[in-house]
Amino acid sequence: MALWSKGDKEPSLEDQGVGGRVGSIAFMTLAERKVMASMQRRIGPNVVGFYGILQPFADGLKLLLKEAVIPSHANKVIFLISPFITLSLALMGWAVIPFAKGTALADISLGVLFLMAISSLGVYGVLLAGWSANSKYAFLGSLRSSAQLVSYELPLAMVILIIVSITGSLSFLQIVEFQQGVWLIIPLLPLSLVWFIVILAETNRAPFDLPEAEQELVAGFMVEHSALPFAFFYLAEYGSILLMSTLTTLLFLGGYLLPFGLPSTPLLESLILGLKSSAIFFFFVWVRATLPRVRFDQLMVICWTTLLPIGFAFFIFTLSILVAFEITPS
Amino acid sequence: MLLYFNSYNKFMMASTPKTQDLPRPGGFPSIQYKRNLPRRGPSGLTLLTGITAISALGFYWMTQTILESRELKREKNWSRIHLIPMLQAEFDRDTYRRTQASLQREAEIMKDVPDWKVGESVYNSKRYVPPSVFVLPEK
Repeated sequence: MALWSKGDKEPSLEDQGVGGRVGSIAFMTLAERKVMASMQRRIGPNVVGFYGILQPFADGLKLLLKEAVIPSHANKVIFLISPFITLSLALMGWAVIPFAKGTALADISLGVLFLMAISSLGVYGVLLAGWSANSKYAFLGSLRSSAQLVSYELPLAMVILIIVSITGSLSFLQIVEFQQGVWLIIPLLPLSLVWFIVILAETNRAPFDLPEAEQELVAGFMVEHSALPFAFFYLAEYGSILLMSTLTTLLFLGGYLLPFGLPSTPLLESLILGLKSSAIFFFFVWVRATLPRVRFDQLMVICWTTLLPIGFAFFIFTLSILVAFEITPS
Repeated sequence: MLLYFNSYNKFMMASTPKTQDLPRPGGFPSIQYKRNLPRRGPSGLTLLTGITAISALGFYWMTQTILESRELKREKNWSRIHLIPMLQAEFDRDTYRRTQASLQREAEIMKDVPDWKVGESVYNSKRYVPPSVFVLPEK
């Protein structure tokens, strides 16, 4: 009973949301391993449970039962707090995501702003983890990771700014409702390519996974973390991938809306949102299985000299269209 | 020694015709260093045209959507503006009913007090002041 935050007899909407997220993150790891396995002509996990379906729980249980090794030179308080910071920030972003019409946990009118603020704070967990471990590899990993996150936030914010200027709202619900007319991927097709690159970098995924480049830095900023703290980082990483997939769906793919304005029920809408997000997650895995890692200077050059100018140019172009045709959203 | 070599060179020059290493007549064929990869997929021009066309169509639909949402917003605003007289009338009716009930209640409570004027204004003015306090029924 003490598990539920409000002391109700039933789990509240918030608890269901958090529980659902953690569960889906667990199955995402399995989905990634299975998809990558079939792309590489392997079988993938198939021992634990039927068709390997219980593999994530076996992994989680293993991490839960192992001993959490804390390096003797580490700053222990920060070392242990940073995974909690990262995971709670990764889960906090879900508060403003509408799963169906009117089912966001907190339907605030500045949802987009809230989400961007929360995702910016995510850098701190990485930075604290890398610094407090007092290890060269973790420190280099966290430096790379924070530089990457800070750099790629600019094109990310630019894309979001363009969408906000078109829809005239900072509320996710209204951005989705706007797309009853047209899914924004159609007018913003070039920009959506920029967005897909940016979310790969923002979630530290291949081909931009330099912070945890296995050959150089073992596991990046979380190399010294083990057992449960490591599991928290792992959950946070996949949580941010899931969040970015859902965000892509909301901003570009019409969110929970059915195509062609077909009527739907709340349950069906949630299902549609999940299906679209899964398609984006498949794209994440596909890219990881296909492309080799870029160098760090290439990573920075792509951001500052390619994506950001394209974002600025498209921002000016879109605003010009809105002003020239007198269709600024009122 | 120098003299010897010089004389040797003179001897060689005299015996063989003067030649230089040159490409054969017509030149060498160009060396193919590119990989033989088939050119797959649509050309760049096709892609650019296609994406521009899709975007243009999307911007047209986007324009229609913005215009429609603007119209819906205007309709909502005007429907509220037109509802104001009705809501005001309802409010006035409700205020009058509550005021009458309040006067009755006052007369009932203060019936034993001599020289009590029911409904006398507490202000030193004859101007109408709407009541700021309502007595709501107890649940």
